[in-house]
Amino acid sequence: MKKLLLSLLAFLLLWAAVAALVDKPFLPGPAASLAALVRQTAEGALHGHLLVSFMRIMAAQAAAFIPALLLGLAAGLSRPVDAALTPLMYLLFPVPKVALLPVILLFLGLGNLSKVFLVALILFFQFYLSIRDETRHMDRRYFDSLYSLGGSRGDLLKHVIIPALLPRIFSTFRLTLGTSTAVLFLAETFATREGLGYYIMESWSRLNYDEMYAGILGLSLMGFILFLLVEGLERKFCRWSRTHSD
Amino acid sequence: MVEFRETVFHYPGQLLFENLTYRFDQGQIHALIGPSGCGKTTLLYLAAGLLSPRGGSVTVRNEPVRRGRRNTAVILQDHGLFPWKNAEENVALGMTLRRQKNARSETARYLEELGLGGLEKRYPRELSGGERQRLAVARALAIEPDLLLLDEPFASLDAMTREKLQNRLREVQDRRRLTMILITHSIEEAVFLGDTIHVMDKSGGLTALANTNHPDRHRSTRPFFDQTVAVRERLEAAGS
Repeated sequence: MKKLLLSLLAFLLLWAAVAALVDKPFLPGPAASLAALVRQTAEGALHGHLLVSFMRIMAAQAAAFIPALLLGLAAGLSRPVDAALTPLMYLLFPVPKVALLPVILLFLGLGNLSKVFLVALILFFQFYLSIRDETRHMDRRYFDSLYSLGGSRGDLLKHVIIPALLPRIFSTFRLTLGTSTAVLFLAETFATREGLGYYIMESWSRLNYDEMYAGILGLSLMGFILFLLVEGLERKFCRWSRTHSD
Repeated sequence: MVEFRETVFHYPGQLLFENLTYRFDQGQIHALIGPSGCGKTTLLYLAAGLLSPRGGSVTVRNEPVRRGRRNTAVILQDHGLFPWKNAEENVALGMTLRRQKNARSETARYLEELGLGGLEKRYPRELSGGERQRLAVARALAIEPDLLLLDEPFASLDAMTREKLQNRLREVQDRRRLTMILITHSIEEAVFLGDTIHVMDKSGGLTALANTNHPDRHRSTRPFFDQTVAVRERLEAAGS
């Protein structure tokens, strides 16, 4: 906690120094930005956008993770499924999905669905490859160990595969949180009046830089809280993987 | 107890057993020794039902062996403990999978019996090599096996811990009279623990040597020394 506060303080000092040095209206100092964040939150102008963005990120994470888990497990455990799916994934993964935003808007409309779909589409490949790789390279001796204790194929999932996958899943969640925040920001700058992306760009168009930075801070804060949440869950469910380094 | 009848097994491009006919009697510790890659672990996996023969049969108590036989316990190389389960959960797992009702109290009993009382909540990584090994034995015994298969259980331990655990395994055997098949690379371990020593040659053939060191089971005695020399000579002839 102490380290966290120190890094935060260092960041704010650096920000203040650069702002003083640049001395332009488009880079206010941290004090003005934080004051705008507090003011906008108190006035209820920010939290609606924050909530919408938060819900979109959660929905996109779930929409990407669940099918990626099922398909990644199937490909990791079965060579024929892997041979059928993975080349397709390799082909589609590098396609710049953000460029599909106009098409997605045409198909799914201007509401939440198109934003969630775009973010989920990008996250899906990261989850899929991560889960497939980890499952494929899982030490098969654990399978034998479970069978030797009388376990069935059905027991494998509960007692071996899912627990063994958890550290990698949490690690991928951390990576995808950064990606999802960035992609969502972009998606929210088009054809919407809700979300932090919209709030930031709308403030920018009014040249209200304090509020624009308040929005950026809000977005960062949301990402930070989500990271803490993932880390907390990892601590709870993967204590075994941390014991050697603690 | 464990019988191989004209058993055939091969991996792609590598024939391991061709019409292997062999028997491991009940109530003994069978020490299995042989050159690396001769098929000892495969033999153990066939006895455990973790691999299926391509031809012939493998039976335990005259029943064709199948995966997850209720009274067969296996201790795999590196113990096969699950890192994500603590000591208590590792021991209880076999009983849980068998829907045993008193798993909790039995777990405590087995941990206590193997000297692991107080370490219930520790994960395998938090235990020493010797403690992990005892945990693997506790987990195996907790399913009340009549057949215990051990694949180099003491290989990664230091000399003193290994000796202590060998003594512990003998004590367990004196109380329970299980049938054990123990793979080892150590001639001394085979002579100390085995009631019968089976030497496997490079082509998967097996020869049994009655252990003349038995029943004294002392290390550093003349019979112990004589028996290690006899096993060494047989092993050299087998192609080590």
